[in-house]
Parts: sequence; C-alpha cells; structure tokens
Amino acid sequence: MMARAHPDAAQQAMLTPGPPEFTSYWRMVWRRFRRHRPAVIGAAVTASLIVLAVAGPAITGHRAEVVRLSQVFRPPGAGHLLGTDELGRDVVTRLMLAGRVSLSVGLVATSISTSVGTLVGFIAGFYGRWVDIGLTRLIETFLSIPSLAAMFVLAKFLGTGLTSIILVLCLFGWMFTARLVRGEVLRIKRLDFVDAAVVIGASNRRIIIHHLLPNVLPPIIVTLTLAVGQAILAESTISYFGLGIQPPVASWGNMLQNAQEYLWSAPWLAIYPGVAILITVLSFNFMGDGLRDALDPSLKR
Amino acid sequence: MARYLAGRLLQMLPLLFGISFLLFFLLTLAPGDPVDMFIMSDPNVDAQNIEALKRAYGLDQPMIVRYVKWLGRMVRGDLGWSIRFKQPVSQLIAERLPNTLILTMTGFALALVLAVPVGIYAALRQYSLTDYVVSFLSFLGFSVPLFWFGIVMIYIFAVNLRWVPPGGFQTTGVAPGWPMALDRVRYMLLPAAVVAFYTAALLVRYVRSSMLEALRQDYIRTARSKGLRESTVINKHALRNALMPLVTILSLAIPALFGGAPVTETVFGWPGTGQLLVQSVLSGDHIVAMAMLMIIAVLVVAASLVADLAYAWLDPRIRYE
Repeated sequence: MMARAHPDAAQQAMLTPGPPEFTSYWRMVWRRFRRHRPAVIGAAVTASLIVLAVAGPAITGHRAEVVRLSQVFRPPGAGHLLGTDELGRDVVTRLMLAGRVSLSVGLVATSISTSVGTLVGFIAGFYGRWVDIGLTRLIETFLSIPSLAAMFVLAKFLGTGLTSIILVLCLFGWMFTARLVRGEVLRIKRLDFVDAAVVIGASNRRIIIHHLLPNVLPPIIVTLTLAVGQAILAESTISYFGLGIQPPVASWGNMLQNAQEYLWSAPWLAIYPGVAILITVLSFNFMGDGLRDALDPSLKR
Repeated sequence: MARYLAGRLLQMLPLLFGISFLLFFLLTLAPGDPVDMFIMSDPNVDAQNIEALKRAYGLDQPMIVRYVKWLGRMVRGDLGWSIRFKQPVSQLIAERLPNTLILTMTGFALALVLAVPVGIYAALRQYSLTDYVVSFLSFLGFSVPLFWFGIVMIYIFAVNLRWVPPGGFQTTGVAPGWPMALDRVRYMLLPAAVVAFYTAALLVRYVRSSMLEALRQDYIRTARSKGLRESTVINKHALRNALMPLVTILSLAIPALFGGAPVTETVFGWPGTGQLLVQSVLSGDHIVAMAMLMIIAVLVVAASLVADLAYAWLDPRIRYE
C-alpha cells in the first residue's frame, strides 16, 4: 500500500541528482523486479536449487559416494529417478552434491572478483592520472588474453582443487567490473553534487562512501548477478576438460567428463548435468536482466 | 589521425610484452612438460635419457633464459618447434588454419544471416510474442555450456537420427571432387550450427537493442512526421544507424576467426587451431600454446584498433586527435 501511494516520489527522488533516497528507491526497485516475470521465476528457481543442493542429498535416500558395481548404468526410473552412473552412484544425489560445489564456486568466485573489480575501478576512476593509466593498462592486458585458454593454463599451474578453481575464475573475472566501475566513477565524479560535497569540505572517504558508492551500486549488482552465471559456465568448462574440480568430488562439469563416451549406452549421464547448468545459468541471467530494468530509473515501463 | 594511430601502435608493444611474460611464466612453471608426458606413456625410460631429452629441448634452463630465447625467436618471426608433434609450429598452424577458417566463417555467416533480420524484426515488434521468443532463445544461447550443447547436438542428430557423423573431419577413402566436398559438409554441419547458434544469440541482442535505440532518435520522428513511408523510415534512416555498432562487434570477432572455437572443435574432434590450442595447453606443449596465444592476443589488440577506426569512419561525429 505504501509503495503504491508514492510512485512519483520515487521517480522524483531519482531525477534530482544526488545520492538516491534509499528507502523509496529500493522500494521502487523491488516493485519493478516483482513485475519482471522471468526474473521472478529465475529467483524462485535459484532459491529452490539452493534448497535442493543443501537439503536434497539427505532426502533422496542414496549415498552418492558409495560405489555399487551391481547397480551400474541403471536407466532413469523407480528407485533411481535419473538413473545411476558408471560406478552405480545415484545421479540425482550426485547432481545435488555437485550443485553445492558448482553454486558455491560460482558465488564465492564472483563475490571476490566483483569486489576486486570494484576496488580497482574505484581507485582508477577516483584518483585518475598515472594510477588510472597504469590500472587501465592492466585491465586491457587481461582483456586481451584469450580467457578460456588462459584459464586452462592457470588451472594447470595452480593445480586442481576448490581454491585454485576459485582463484582462476577471479583472476580472469575481475576486469569486467573494474572497467565498468571506472567508467561510472569517472562519470559521476563530474556531476555537480560531488563538486558540492568537495566544496563543503567532505573527505575523500566520505565522498566515496556516501556519494559515489550508492550511485555505482546498481550496475555493480547487475554485473554481479550476470557474472555468477558466467562463473558457473566457466567452472563447468574447466572441470569438463579435467582441470577443475576432481572426482570423486562431483561438479556439474566433471560429471560430463566422460559423457560423450556414454552417449550410446547411457545418454542420461550426458543430459542431466548439462540441464542443471543450463537452468542455473539461465536463472541468474534472467535475474540480472530483471535487476537491470528494475535498478535503472531512466527506464520507464 | 596519423599521430593517434602511431600512439596506439606504440601502446600495443608494452601490452603484448606484458601478456607474453605472464603467459610464458604460467605455462613453463605449470607441472607437466612434454617430456614428463612422454615418460608417463612409457615408464621404462631411464633417468639418464630424461635428462638428455630435457637438455636437448632446453627444458633444463631457468625460466627467464627460456623466455628471452623464445622472445628473440618470436621477434624474428620464428614460432618455434612443437615437441609433441615434432614439427615447426608455423607448419602446424598452417595445416589447421583452413579447417578453422571454413568452420568459423561458415558459423559467423550463418549467424549474421540469422541474427540481423531476426533482431530487427524483434525490435520493430517490441514486446510481441516473436520478441519474447527471440529474447528467450538468445538467453538460452549464452546460458548453455557450449561443450554440453555440442554433446546434445551429437546425441540428437548423430546418435538418434543418424543424419550426420558424431564427430571428426572426413571419411577415409572418399573419392575426391564432389563426393569429398559433400562428405566434408556432413561433418561440418553440427559444429558450424553450434558456432552459428551461440554467435547469433549474442548478435541478435546487439542488433535488437541498437535498432530500438535508433528508433527512439529524433530524426526518426522527423522522418515520420514529414510523411515518409514507414519502409523508407526503417530502411533508410533507422537501419543504417542501427547496424553501425555491428561493425565494431564484427571487427572484434576477427581474433575468433583465427583462434577458432576451442570448445566446439574439441567436442567434435575438428582438427582446427582451437583444438590445437586446447590440446597444447593440456599436454604441456608450451611453445605451440604460446604461439597460438600470442597470435590471438596480437589480433585482439589489433582488432580493437580496427574497430575504433571503423567506427570513426562510419560516424562522422567521432574524431580521433
């Protein structure tokens, strides 16, 4: 009710330059996000995936790590909803366990790389001069490296395991946010309200935290959401090529490692892990799209 | 203009230098050089032979010495020697480049033919059912893990329908001429479709949003209000401006033409440069990997310059000083 009472006030708050008035702005964002159907579905699916990954393995009644050679390659059906794999492990249970790994790798890696990117972008955009030139060169360098092959190289260098895959994703993921944040900071820094803050003697710290950060936050949130999907895709590709998460620990990517050989005899092994990746990444991308529309006050629909 | 160009070219050098050092450092320090791989395949090799092999290939020297030697050869245009294939790298790349070019160019051409009209149509009918379907397909295109998409295509069209072979490049013993050409097409159909689909998925979004942007401009309203036919407004005024960003996107795709489609080529067993890169990295054939990575990096840097120049040429409002 409250939200509906002041639709213009929210718009008005955004039209006047300056840090957005928080309560009304976020209320407007929430209202717009709710109306974006794909985004809402994406959010609901993501939430269910997380619940399934956390609680699911306990419910299925199978212990995925137990190898049972009498049960290998059971097709989907009663008892094993999505069948069993080459070692007789229940595919549903493994998918959920893999979901824990893939989702947490995606979320952790993206949180770190977005934070690093934000920091670098802020430093470059705020301090300018040679700091900016140096950091921009660094961003360009990383952007010019063919990322997939470079991720393989780095994964080989660091060795396999959870920490190294996260490091790999971070090292080749931070520069997109950095480039974006730098541009935004440069743009906002020139606006009148920042000059006003400087004139009344605000410290750099205050300007960054109270004036720049709130204005840069919306695009950061959007890239963060989209980057989670990208990170999950990258992790699955690296694990598929055998350089990421190693068996017996399951990830959606390494479950597909031998999928191609089993296409004739046990195609379900090749299908379901990919479906899990697709649904997850699609959900994050839809959420990102919805957030982009919801967070941008200039889009009126 | 000349000054701008010279400046940009000069900036490229330290950039490429930095990239090469970083990649060389990581590649040479990563465990598993080709000699190690060779030992794994033949456990009977004795330690003395390993030493001799490593010395013969210069793998026993410190990293920095190897880097300087490599850089010296690279500057003289010598890409080096592949330990795994026992061939000069330039020859390896030359053998595979035609395969990659035909795959990527077919894929890109299909993507363009598909994405441009569809994107424009979706923009002209924003929020229509077609628009939503196109958006959804495009979202699918960049949310799907490529390697898995390839596997699913193989499952549907090769395993179940048996329309095309499940991978590879050619059938041995096919008569040259038309039968051979048709044979190649059958092998290329699936990988080219995969390349086309994900390229189109990215392109269609650009085309759609840039067409929407163009349609919002004042000159479109002017054109309409002076009574021009809608087709003239769209074709002469909106389209021309909407397709400009496409030039940038396409010039940025130049490196991908050379670098191929690493994932797609690997899944389909297509002997292209992308597959060569992936295999070289995985098998520790550093010199090949370095050569491929550096050529791609040079192309990436050059392509961004070409894109900027093309943009300035097309849009008279942009001037580089």
